[in-house]
Amino acid sequence: MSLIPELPLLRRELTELANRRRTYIVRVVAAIILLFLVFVAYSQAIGQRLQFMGNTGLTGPMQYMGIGGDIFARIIPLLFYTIQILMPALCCACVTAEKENNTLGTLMLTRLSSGTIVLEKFGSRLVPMLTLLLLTFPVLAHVHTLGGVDTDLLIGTLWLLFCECLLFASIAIACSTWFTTTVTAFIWSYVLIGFLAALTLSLGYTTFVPSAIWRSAFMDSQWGVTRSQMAFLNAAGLGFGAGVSPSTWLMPVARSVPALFATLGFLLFARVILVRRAFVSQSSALLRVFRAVDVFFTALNDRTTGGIELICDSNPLPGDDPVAWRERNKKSLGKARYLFRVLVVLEIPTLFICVMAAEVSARNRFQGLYVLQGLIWTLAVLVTAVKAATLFSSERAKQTIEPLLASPMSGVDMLSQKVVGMRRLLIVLSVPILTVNLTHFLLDVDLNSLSTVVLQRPLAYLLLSICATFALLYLVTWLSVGIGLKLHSQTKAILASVTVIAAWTVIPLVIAQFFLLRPPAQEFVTTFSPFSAVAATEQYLTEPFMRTSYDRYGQVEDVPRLLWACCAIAVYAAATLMIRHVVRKTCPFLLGRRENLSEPPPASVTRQAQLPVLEGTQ
Amino acid sequence: MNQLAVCIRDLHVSYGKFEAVKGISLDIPKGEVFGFIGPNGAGKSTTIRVLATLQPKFRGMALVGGLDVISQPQQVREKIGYMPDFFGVYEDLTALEYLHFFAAAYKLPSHRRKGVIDDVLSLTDLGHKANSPVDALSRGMKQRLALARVLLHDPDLLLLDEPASGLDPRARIEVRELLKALKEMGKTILISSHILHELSQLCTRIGIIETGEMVAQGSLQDIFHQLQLKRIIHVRLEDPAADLESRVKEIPGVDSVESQVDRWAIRLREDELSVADFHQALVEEKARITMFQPEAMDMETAFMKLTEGKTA
Ligand SMILES: Nc1ncnc2c1ncn2[C@@H]1O[C@H](COP(=O)(O)OP(=O)(O)O)[C@@H](O)[C@H]1O
Ligand SMILES: [Mg+2]
Repeated sequence: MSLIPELPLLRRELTELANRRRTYIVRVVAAIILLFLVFVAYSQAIGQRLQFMGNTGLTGPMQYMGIGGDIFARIIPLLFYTIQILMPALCCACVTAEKENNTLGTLMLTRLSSGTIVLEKFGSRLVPMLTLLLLTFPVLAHVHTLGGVDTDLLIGTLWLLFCECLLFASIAIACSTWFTTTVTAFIWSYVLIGFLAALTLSLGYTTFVPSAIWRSAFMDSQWGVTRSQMAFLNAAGLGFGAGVSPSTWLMPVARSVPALFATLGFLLFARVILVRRAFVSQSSALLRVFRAVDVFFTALNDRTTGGIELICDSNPLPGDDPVAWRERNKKSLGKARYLFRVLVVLEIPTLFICVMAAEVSARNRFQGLYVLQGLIWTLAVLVTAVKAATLFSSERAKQTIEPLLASPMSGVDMLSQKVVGMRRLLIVLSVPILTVNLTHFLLDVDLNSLSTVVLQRPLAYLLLSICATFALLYLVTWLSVGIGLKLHSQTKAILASVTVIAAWTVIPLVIAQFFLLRPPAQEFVTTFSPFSAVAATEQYLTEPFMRTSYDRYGQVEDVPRLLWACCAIAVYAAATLMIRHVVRKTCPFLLGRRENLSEPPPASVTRQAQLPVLEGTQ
Repeated sequence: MNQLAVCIRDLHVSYGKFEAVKGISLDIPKGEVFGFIGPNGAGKSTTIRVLATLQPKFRGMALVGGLDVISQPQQVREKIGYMPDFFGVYEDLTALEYLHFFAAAYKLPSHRRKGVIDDVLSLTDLGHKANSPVDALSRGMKQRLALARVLLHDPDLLLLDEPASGLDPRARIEVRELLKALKEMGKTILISSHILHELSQLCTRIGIIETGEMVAQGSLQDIFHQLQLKRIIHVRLEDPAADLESRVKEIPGVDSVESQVDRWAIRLREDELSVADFHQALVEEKARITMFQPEAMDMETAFMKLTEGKTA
């Protein structure tokens, strides 16, 4: 008799994963990216140390003392980020996929209890994540030998990494059991994690997220110097005088107990709702929420304004553009009233922060607004990508596409109507983005009007940002639509488009950073990232300000920002048009239907008459 | 010359290495109801998808109303109404909106849409459900709604892939009645099924397909003839004379007489002796008939005989 208990579902899941070619590709790519980033962090830590040492004039073997600590401090956050990004993506489909394939019912008819199902699903998703983390252990071991990382620190860190995996996997699994579609589970997992991150920031020491514990236990420091570095500095006689408390592994382990309880809580929650939420019909949950919100808003409206309707969804029948009509009038992210609500929900906090930023001194305005800008852009790109990627794949999943494909509508027609149906959403998403830009504009006008009345630059900036916003949003749209046409499953399409966009944005930046490129080359490489269209526009506005500070340090002036911004925007507008062209060209093929290449040759009409009319076969 | 509604010559369709359809040829004259019979996985849906212009890759020739499916798919789409074997309906629309959606997709002029939609709704008996969400319709109603959709643009050819699968007997009969009405309207219908007797009452021609090959096709009569099947008649007689059985056996055209508990099962060679003539002959033999029941054409036997050895 085997001592290891039989885990049929776990075995099935792992076998299934192992049988997919995709698994290996994803794992290899993830491993390569992770190891590459680790390598970048490694070399950066060394570079920084050398620079620092150069300033203090220390040389010789002392120069590398405790360098392991520096590297460690840079690598571990990367591992935490990896977990935070990958774990929900790995887990969020594990129950919803069964729901979508209608196999959950069969699974529950087996002798497996719902607790077992949840636990084995949990295990099956932990295994790939842990194997990925395992890959970095040789690097960690090497770092350990470099000194500066004591064993306690190492053990505590590994433990916290493990806890982070557990916590995030359990959150994603809870989402997966609660929601009916992978898409909603995917989005909500990240929303919950974002919420946890916000909670972490506000709670400070008492937080229970392992990554935050790690930060506060090992990396908390004055003056941005980590504890291990501090130990080194003290040893080198350069200490700032701060006492270093010895780090033990016991403390972080003790502090991770709430995280473990939270994990347990999420798993129990998943166990309890697994059966209850197994057969909740698709979309009804969202509809119900919307209906509830609707009732609330209507009541509010009645009470406050006496029922004046700013936006009423007239419900006309389709004209000549049925597909666009359905996108506009029947989809929750297309209806005017829902979009108006999305706009309100996005715009109010944005305005609030913008006003706050304007209140603080003008010199400081950049940091806070840039963070906001980044957040809004991420959100807008995510929503656009998800919506665009599911335009066709959702119809495929619900098998509604075949009747449409058998109609004489051309594929390009369907495609353009679908994208036209997204226009409102794009406008709504662009409003908060442009609000931030407008704030920059107003602040700048305010600054300049005191001295010289130069409205030219801010106005050009505003124009550039409008162009950049729409160019990039349409780029995301067409790219995701193309990917959604190519990949037949919704989940795959969403994951692929988000990945492609993220990689496209980040990789050039990482390369530019890694090779420490100097201005002309730096701009050139950065232009390969769509991020450059926004960055260049922003830098164009701050150029005069930056120039004075550059001059102060006697640095050489680089590429004019206006030129760079125009180039970047032109490049991405062109890229959008090109992708659009390619998608439109290949769309009949990707939809799996033939279309008339040109005008029908009249000959084929008569071809039939020459055929012998067979009666019966053979 | 009578134009053919459908003409397929030597059709081959492969999914990767797997050949789902291996050289099918078939003709459907205008106005016929062609029944496409075969077990699951035989290649019925695949063939129908070719005609519905949804199979981009195939070898051979397929014409719909004289139009080539490869070179003029857009024109073909205007002539056909295709109902897939599995399909979804837009759950966010009402039945009326659903039909309007497809009326627009088929580019019906907007002033005609309302009239046409009212017509198809009443034809499919869905008028009372026009404003309920499609999601809330029963399976049978969804199937009828799909039929209504198929009829919107008044196509010449209907391609119906297992329209009655998964329906309860009542809904099945409703669909069948609807199809009969369409037949009377003079539409050409290609209908597939894996259930045999579902088609026998409706179809004027039948094609039997198995593992991608057409085993037999023609009118029902042709097929029975081709197979030399015998018609079985169940007869119950009041006090038959002792020698009646042997006398009946003597009637030319009677193949065999089998005496069962309360009846005789008589096999006829129908080409020699029609059912009516046989009845006449029985009466002339002074038999007193209390029951005379010709068995409906025995399609199950036909099917089993045709596919002998191939399913094993
Ligand atoms: N998209 C596809 N990819 C691969 N094989 C398919 C596909 N569609 C059908 N098949 C295979 O082709 C054969 C014929 O299928 P189908 O035409 O649907 O049969 P039927 O409708 O007669 O039940 C089956 O063996 C099926 O497995
Ligand atoms: Mg089929």
